[in-house]
Amino acid sequence: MKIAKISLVLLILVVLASCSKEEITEPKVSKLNDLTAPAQFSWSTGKVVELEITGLPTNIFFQSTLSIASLNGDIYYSGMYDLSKDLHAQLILPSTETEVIMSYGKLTKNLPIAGSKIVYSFIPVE
Amino acid sequence: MKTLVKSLFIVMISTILFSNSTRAQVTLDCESGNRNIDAAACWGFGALSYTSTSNLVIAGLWSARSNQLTNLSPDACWLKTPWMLVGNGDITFLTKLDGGPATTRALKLFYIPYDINSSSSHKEGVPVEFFHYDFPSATSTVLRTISVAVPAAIMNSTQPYKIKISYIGTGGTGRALSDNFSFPGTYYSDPTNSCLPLVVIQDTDNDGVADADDAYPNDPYRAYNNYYPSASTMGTLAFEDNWPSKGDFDFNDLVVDYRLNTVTNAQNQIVEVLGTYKLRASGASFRNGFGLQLDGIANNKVISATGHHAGASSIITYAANGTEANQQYVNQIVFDNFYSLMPHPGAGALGINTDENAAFVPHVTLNTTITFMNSGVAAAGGPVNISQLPPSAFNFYIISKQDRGREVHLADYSPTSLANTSLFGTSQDDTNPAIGKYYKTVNNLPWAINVLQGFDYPKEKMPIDEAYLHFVEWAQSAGSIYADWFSNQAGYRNAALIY
Repeated sequence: MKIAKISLVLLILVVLASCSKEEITEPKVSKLNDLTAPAQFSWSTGKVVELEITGLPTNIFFQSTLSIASLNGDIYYSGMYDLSKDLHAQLILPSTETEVIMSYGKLTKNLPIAGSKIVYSFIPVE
Repeated sequence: MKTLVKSLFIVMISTILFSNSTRAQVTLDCESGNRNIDAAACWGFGALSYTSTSNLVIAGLWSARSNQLTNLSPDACWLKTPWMLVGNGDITFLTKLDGGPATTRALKLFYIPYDINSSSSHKEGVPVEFFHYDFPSATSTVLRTISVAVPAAIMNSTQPYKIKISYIGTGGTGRALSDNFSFPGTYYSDPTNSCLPLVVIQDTDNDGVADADDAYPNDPYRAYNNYYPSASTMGTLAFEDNWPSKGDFDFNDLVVDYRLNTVTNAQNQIVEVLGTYKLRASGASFRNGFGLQLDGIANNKVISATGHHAGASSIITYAANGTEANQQYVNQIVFDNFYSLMPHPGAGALGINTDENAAFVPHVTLNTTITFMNSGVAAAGGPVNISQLPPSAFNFYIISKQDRGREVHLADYSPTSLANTSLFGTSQDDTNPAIGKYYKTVNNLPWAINVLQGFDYPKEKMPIDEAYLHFVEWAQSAGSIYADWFSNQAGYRNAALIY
C-alpha cells in the first residue's frame, strides 16, 4: 500500500513536470511578425558616433597620442594626433554610452556624446 | 653597446615628435587672427593684441599691436615665445610705429631661463636683457626690420628658454606694430601641460610614441590598439539563416561572439586587424559559414589573412594570400561550416547549444589576422590609414546552406561580390539597393542583430521578443528606449526561454 502511494506521488510529479516542460518549450509566436520598425533602425545596440576634433590653426608642431575611452577606461580609439590639424574619426560605441574620456598628452577631458557626435576644439573660447 | 644605446635613447616629451633641422625656427605671423589661439600654442601676450586694420597691418591680414606705450617697464607690454631649445642665427621680426603722438619709443629683448624652483606657475627665471633698440623717430611710421643674433649664452643650449620682446615708451598715445617673428630653435612647450617645458620620457623602440602610450613599446612597427567593441568585452552576432524567407526570430541559427583589434603604427597606418571569434551556437539544420568583409578595402591593400578555418571540401575559393578569391574588397571567411568546428551533439538535439536537453558542445575560439604591413612594409596597394577602416566598415555575414551566394548580412550592410543578388526581393526580403536598404523585410525586420555588449541568446524556437520583454519597445523606438533590453534586470527577460 505504501509503495502504491509513493508510486502515485511520483507519477503525479512526473506528469506535472512534463506539463511544465511543455509550457516552457512550446514554440512561441513572435510579436515581431506584426511589428513595423523604423526604416533607419540598424538593429544594433551600438551607435555610430562621429569624433570631431578641431585643432589649433598654428604653425607650431606638436603631436601626441590622442585616445578616446569609456568612463571605465576601455579604449575605443588611439592614435597620433598633430595639434594643428583637425581630426575626424568614426566610432561605434554602445548606445548606452553618454560620455567618453579624451586624453591628449597631459590633457584629460570628459566629453559628452551629443547628437551622435563627440566634439572638442582646442581653440580657446574667448 | 647597441642595446645600451637603444635603451638609453630618450625622446622629448610624452609622445611627441617634433622639430628637426627643417623646423629649426619658431615663428609667429599672427595670421590666426586670434591671439588666444596662439596663446593656446604657448605664446605669451602682455598688452598686445592683433589688428586687421589695413593701414596698420605689416604683412598678411593680421599683425600684432601694442597698447599705448607710456611705460618704461619691460613688463608693461610684451611678447613671449613658448619654451624653446634656442638654436643659432638671428632673431628677426618686422616692426613700425603707428605715427601717434609719442616722446620716446623703444624695444628690449630678454631671454628667460627655466627655473623649476620659481614660485610662478610658468616656472620662469629672472629675465636677462640682451638687446635694446630706440626707434630713431618716435612718430615715424617707417617699417623696420629687427635682426638680432642669438646670445652666445643660450645658443644651442639643451636647456629651455623663452625670448621676450618688450615694447616701452614715454609720452603720447602712439603704439607699436610687429609681425613675422622668427626665432632660431625648436619648440619645447607642452600645450597640454600648462605650457610648461616638455617632459623627457623614454621611447624604447624609437617610433615616436612614448612607452607610456605605446601598446607595443618594444616594437617600432606597432603602436596602438583600437578595439571593437572594446578591449574588455565581446559583441554578439546572432543570425537567422532562412533568408530570404522569414525565420522564427529566435536569432540562434548562428551565434558568434567577436572582438576586433585594429593595430596601427605611429603614423596611424593599419598594421593588422586581429579577430577573436567565439563560436557559441547553431540552432540550425543548415550548415552555415561566417565571414567578414572590410568594406572599401581593396585586396591589394592586404598582405595575408590567416587563422580562419576551412574544411577539406570547402565551398570557398581562397586567394594565395588567404583572403577569398574573386572579391572586390577584402573578405576573410572565418569558418566555412560551423558544424565542422562544433559538431552536432546528436540524440535529436534541436541544434548545437540551443537545446538544454542536449549535451553542451564546448565553444570554439578562432583567432584571425589580416595583415596590412609586415615589418613596416605595406602591401602592394600601399598603406591604409585607420580613418579608412572605421568599425562601420566591418561587414559581418553568414553563408547559408553551403550555398556561396546565399549571404545574410546585418541590416543595411551590402552584399559581397559573390552574393546571389537574384534572391533580393524574393520571399520576405525587401532589399532595395537604390535606397541603401539591405537584408530587411518590408516591415524593416532583420535577419541578424549585433549586440555590442554580448548577450544570452534564446533557446530553439523561442522568439527573441518572448525571451527579452523589452525587445519590441527597443525596436519600435529605433533603439532610443530600452537600449539595455538584453541586460539581466528584473522584468527584462524570461529566463526560461534563454539558453
